[in-house]
Amino acid sequence: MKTKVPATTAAVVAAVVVTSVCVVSLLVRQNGTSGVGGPVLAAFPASTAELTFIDHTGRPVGRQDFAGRFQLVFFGYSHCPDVCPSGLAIMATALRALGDAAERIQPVFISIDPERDTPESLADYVRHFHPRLLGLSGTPEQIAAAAKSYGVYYERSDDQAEGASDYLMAHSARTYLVGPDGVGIAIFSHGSDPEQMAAEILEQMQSYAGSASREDVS
Amino acid sequence: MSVTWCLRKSGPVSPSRRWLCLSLLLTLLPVSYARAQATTSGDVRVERVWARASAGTTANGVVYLTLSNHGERSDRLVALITSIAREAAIHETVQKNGMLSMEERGPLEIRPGESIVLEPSGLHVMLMGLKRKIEEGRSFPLTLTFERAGSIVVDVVVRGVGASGPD
Ligand SMILES: [Cu+2]
Repeated sequence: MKTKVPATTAAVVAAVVVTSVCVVSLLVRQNGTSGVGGPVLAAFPASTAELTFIDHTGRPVGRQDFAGRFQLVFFGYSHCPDVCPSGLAIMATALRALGDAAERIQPVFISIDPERDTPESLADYVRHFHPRLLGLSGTPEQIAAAAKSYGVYYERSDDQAEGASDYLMAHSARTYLVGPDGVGIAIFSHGSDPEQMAAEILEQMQSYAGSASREDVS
Repeated sequence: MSVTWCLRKSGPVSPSRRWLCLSLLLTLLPVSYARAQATTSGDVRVERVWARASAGTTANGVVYLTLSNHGERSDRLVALITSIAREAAIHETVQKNGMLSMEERGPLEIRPGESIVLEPSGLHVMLMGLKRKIEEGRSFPLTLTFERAGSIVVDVVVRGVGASGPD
């Protein structure tokens, strides 16, 4: 038996499907088995405002350096051949898609391999992806604190001997949008579509501005 | 030995020279096709071959490509050799415990009629121990050896650091 679906119903169903696909792609992918890991902000356990780093020019960096700016943050390491360049390329494409609005965003790459990612090597790395990309490294303690507040995991993933210099790392590869107050706003799973990412960032920035002005009034 | 030596008409061409020339041409054939869209050997085709330029000082790199088997029987990619790196192997980026890492995936089986796409954040040819930086616009050779189809030499086109595909 054939049922005829009215065109309007079909359109609504299509819209719902498309919308849920977009939302799902923005949600955090916690593990390989389930595509959706819960609410977008669930994995942002702490404010990032108190974190400190050393940037790719060798200068100490803290909250004052991000005052009034959104941050788009990716964790990785410069010896990562596949995942990190892909993630940073997506970030750069999203920033290009944002046009002038991107000026209000500080793109950030935080190294989870501080042993090899010295300021000098990060300087040689970040410039390839975006002219304003800030490379952050630091002491192992500074990096551990940063990873903890973002909910990022990382570990050495090699079978090589201790002391080998060409080891590989396993790490979370999401992209984080952080507000000017250091509080996380959105998390994008690895491999997100850059256009969708840009649209979501713009929306979040606008609603952030809206809520901020409401607070000023009250 | 030159092509003229092979093509020279004067004098009788000995069978051994004919074979030598034929095999010479066969070795040259894939290389000369390498710049084109696809390189084929037997039933296996290799196309969309590209690498991402090195960023920074890393000794690791990746090559992406598409393999397809147009034959009736399965084949296996058993070896990878390139002059640019100490070692080349098939890797796959996998997700475990909320982290992405890479696992070795060779030898790669290609079933009849199947296409396998090696692309960012999935399967890739991992290059370890780079002997020089992978530089944009400067290609390098990669030899893929299949159990049935034999060896295929492709020219790896190098795209920018932020590239996500060969085009
Ligand atoms: Cu790999």
